Amino acid sequence: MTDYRDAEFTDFVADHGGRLLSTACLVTGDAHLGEDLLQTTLAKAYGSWAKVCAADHPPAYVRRMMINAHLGWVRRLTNTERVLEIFPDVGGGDPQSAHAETDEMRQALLRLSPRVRTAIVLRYFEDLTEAETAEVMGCSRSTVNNHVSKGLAALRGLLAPGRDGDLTTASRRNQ
Amino acid sequence: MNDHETTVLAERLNRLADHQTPQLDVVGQVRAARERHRRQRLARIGLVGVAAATVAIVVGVTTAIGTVTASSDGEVARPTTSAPATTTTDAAPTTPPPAAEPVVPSGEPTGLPAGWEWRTFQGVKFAVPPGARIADAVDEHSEPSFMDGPSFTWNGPPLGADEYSYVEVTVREPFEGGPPPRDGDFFRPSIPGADEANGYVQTRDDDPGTGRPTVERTVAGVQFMAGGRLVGINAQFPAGPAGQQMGRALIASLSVTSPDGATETPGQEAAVPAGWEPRSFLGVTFAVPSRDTSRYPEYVDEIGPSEGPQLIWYGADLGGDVTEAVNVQVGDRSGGALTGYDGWDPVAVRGAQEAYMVIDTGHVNGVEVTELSLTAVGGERYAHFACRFQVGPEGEQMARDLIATITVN
Repeated sequence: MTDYRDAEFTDFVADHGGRLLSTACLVTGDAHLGEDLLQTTLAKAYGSWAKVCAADHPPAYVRRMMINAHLGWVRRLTNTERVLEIFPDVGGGDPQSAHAETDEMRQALLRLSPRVRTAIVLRYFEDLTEAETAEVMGCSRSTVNNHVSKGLAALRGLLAPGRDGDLTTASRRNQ
Repeated sequence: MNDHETTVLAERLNRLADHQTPQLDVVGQVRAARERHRRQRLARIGLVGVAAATVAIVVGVTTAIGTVTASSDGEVARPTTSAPATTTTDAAPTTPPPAAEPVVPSGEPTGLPAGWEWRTFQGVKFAVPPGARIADAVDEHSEPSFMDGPSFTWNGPPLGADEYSYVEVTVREPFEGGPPPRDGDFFRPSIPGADEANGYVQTRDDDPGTGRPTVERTVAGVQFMAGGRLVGINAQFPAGPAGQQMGRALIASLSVTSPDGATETPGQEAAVPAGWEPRSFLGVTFAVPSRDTSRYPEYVDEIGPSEGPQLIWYGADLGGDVTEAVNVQVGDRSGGALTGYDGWDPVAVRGAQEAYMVIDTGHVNGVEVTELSLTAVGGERYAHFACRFQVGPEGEQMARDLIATITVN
């Protein structure tokens, strides 16, 4: 029984772990925190494997577990959130670097509150609808809408301060 | 935001994800998840014992019915509504915290489930439900061996298909000095005066002797060592939640007494461990370690109308600008969804109808810490606890100690 579960679980991680890890890295803003979040989630999923398998869409179920863990009380308590408030100014990196754009994007995301950042990632990276995002985050659609509006407004300012105000600046720069 | 902008944002998020996401180590993640789950499972088994023992000691002897419990698959504990009430007073959240209030009930006896009665047999004390079909049967004279020995039987009402409720206690000689080994389907209840206890509460619909199908029912069992004897308790109750609760209540009522009737456990212990201080916040009482909190005084954060206020306490430095922390949020049950139970474990919390928790290891600013998350529902209130302590067994013990001090009024 355990072997069967382990085999199924391993297949699941192989099939969906990469995407989950990407989402985890985006919502936490850090590769190490993302890995830790994924590991926390997978441990929970392993312990509740029957429930995961019984879900209509197991990857979505596990993603919800992950977002739940991310927004959970323990992580809200962490000093990480305080650190974000003193994150270095954007634009400090080398604009010629191949990483400049992603650095800019990462730092801009980190300036958003965890819930706003999560809403943005779920809407525009995971491509979830507003209703699906609300379901995953355990809040109302209007709350998601509010988070997304705030996040987009902030990103416009952070990604293109003093320029034309849309999100295409960095893309154009690389063209 | 126009479509072009959203497309660009999605592209940039994808590029960022490609750039910052490390290569997934499937084997490593699977192994780590399995190991982490195993550690959590061990921690919760230990926690059940600690919580049950504390409650039993606090209320005096073995009146903490329902604190040692098991799920239908016989794995671990589940809380019940019969935890003893305490008489603390709501304290307005202030900083510094209010003066110490008694967190612990003053040893007043709490009741068994309605109609339950105590029995004592060969120094084993336990409770049986009402509704006996016939009188108790006692056999004091069987010669103890590893197969048989003196026994007591409570004969309960019929369950159908020639099955009956019963509680049977048998005292045997241990085989090769100890109880037979058990596998992972058993939990480890804490029974005052007993050693090496393991037990189960399960639902069965077959005859264990013949394997033939019969009426569905709850079966409960415990075995433990006491004074060189192997004590076995087997019981059968109706199927369903009520029957499962009866099995759990039976197990929670168990203790081993000395000939003069007193429990063999050490004397009364305070629920607030030595070196800890009580706290009370909006009707939820608990304790925190005594620390110099002058650097980061505790404070109350009013979150908003849809979520209750929270008390935040910071303790000892754990390195890397990370400190011990206890965060308690109390709110109206209707005002906040109780989520996050996936992978959480039921736990006994005084005054709570339901409580779930997880103890885990996490990282804060690169510092490895022990994290405790607990949600308890008592009446119309809920309480969330999010706490962190030092990593390792000591920190895990602190998390367990904290849980044992919580009362939701």
